[in-house]
Parts: sequence; structure tokens; C-alpha cells
Amino acid sequence: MKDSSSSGSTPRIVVVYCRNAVASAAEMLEGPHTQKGLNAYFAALPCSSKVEPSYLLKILADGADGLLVVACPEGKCRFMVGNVRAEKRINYVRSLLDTANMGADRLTLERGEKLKEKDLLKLAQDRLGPLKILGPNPMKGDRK
Amino acid sequence: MIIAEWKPLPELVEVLKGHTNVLVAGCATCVAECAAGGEREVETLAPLLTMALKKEGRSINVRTKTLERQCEWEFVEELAAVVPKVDAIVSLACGIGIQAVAERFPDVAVYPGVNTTALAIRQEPGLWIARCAACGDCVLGETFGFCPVARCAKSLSNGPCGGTRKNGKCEIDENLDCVWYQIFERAKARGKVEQLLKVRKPKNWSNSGHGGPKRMVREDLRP
Repeated sequence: MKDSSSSGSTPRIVVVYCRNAVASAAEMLEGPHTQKGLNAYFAALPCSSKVEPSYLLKILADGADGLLVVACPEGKCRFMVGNVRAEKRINYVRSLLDTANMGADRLTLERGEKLKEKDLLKLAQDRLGPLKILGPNPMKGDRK
Repeated sequence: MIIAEWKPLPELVEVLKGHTNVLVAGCATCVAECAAGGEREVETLAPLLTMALKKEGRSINVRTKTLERQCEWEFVEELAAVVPKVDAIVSLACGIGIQAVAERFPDVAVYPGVNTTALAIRQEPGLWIARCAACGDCVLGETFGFCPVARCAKSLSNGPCGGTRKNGKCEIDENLDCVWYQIFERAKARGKVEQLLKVRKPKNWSNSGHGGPKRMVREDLRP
């Protein structure tokens, strides 16, 4: 399969997801994935509530064009309200991104359960269109 | 604790014009407790500032450092190693900490990253409410543990006013308890309502900011 990651027009997206939202350990994606027109990096979290505003902003300040957090559906968090807290934090960071004129939509939340590898890849691919509209992250290439 | 709130980001972006190496300095005490200036907030503001400035075509190098306290000289000294490498400091401490940093490092521009707003308590997660006005003439013993200076919208020494709602809320905000209603209820519960009949004379405001900058001296503690 052709690796399109070298294409400068492909938005670089980081996907952090709750490990409880995937069907099994075999379906978990870790690290860079560049197939099917993607330039993505996947990282699993023990719970989506592990997202901290500072971490999210650092990922974007390091040049990622987009950041997608995948959480469990409402009411299905293994830790009761972890995904609710994650959503609140994400909304907070989105408001901060707006004040910085970076575009709130660089950070988004999706929900899902029993996700398979192909579902995670699809979620990442679905972000490519909106991120292309936003344009490249001005921080791109700024960090070593 | 002393509470503070972030200044609007555009305000910080504006004051940092012309600066290229900036230190965002936090304080791990009060402003950390109110989620305005602790390590988390410092590490949140730093990348945000970097991005906001980059969006305007300005590249700056942002460093971070969070002190245990910015209002104690011993802790402020920890900045001495990093300050020579920056041309501006954005302090997320309260006004006391910001001034301590500015006094210790007078050659560097020091900007407040927060507005210090009150002496407050964390009532519940994400909610802080003013509890003390540092008035210098505490009456909590007479008011059953409720401060009418900080918690009454009119700072009435002899309340309540006529604006208490039937549900015990203040006329200025339906979510705000009327503190004089609370004082009365606690007095009633203790069977001491008659104590509230005493008219409290005007307070001695000279022992707070109204008497000029407050200066407290303990000769036994001085060098």
C-alpha cells in the first residue's frame, strides 16, 4: 500500500483513545499509522479522563494539525464519569484554542464502544476533511 | 486562599509584544488551589501562549517554572538561574507573588498573568466563593461565623437589608445566599437571636487598606 504520509497536504492527526472503548487488546492501535492516506499517531489511555488541558495543548503546540479524543459512550465509562470529565476538559481546551485563534475544531471528541482497528482508522480519516479546511497548524515544523 | 483568574489571552499577547524569551512562572500554593496559577495552569498557558503568538507571526521561546510560593523570598530565589535567560516574566501568582518577583528581578519586565480577585474558599469542585475581605476588624464572633463584609453584597454591618428574597437569597443574585439570613438562622438555631439586636458601630477601617498600605510588625521576630 502506498504510504502517503510524505504528502505535505495530509493533515497530521493524533488520536488518543480510551482503551476500554476498543473491542479487545488485539484491536488497539499504537504509534504512527500512515496507511490509507493517513498521517496519524495513535495512543491508548486507561480512561479518556486522563486527558489534561496541558497535554492536549502541548500536542497541538508540537505541530499536530488535529487531535482526536475517543471516549466511551455516555453512561458506559468503566470509571463511572471519566468520559464526562473528559468532555468538559475538551470543551474547555476548545474554548482556549478559540481565544488563541487556533480554531477549536483542531480538537474534537468522538464516542464509541467495542471499536476495532478499522473503526479507529475511520474516525481518524473522518477528521481529515475538517482539518484540511482549517489549514495547517502554524506551529508545524516549529518544534524539534 | 487567595483566588485569581487568568487574564484574557489577547491581553497577554498584547503585552508580550517585542519579547522573545518569556518565563511563565507559577505558584503552587493558593493560585494552584484555585486552578489559576499552579503547575497545571502554567503548563497549559505556555503552549497556548506560544500558539497564540505564532498565529500572529511571532515566535517566542516560552519557559516554565512553578515555585512552591512566589510570596516568599527563599522560593522566589529559585528563579535566579532562569531569569537571565528571559526578557519577560508572566507570573500566574497572586498580586503579592507578582510583586515579589518584580522586586527581586527589577531589570526584567514582569507581567501579571492573572487578576487577583478575592480571599475565598473552594465551596465545591470548580466553585470558589469569597469568604474574607481582609478588613482588619474581624466581627465573625458577633455574626455567628459568617462574614458580612465579604459575603453581603452591601457589606452591611447591621443586616439584613430589605432585599432578602423569601427563599433566603440575595436580591442581586438568585444563586447568592443572603448572609444576614444565614446569620439569623444560625443565631436562631443557637437560641441567641437577641444578640443580633445589638447595633454594631462603624468598623475600624483604618486597620485595612483604608489606613494606607498595611504594615504589620512583630519585633520579636525581626532580625
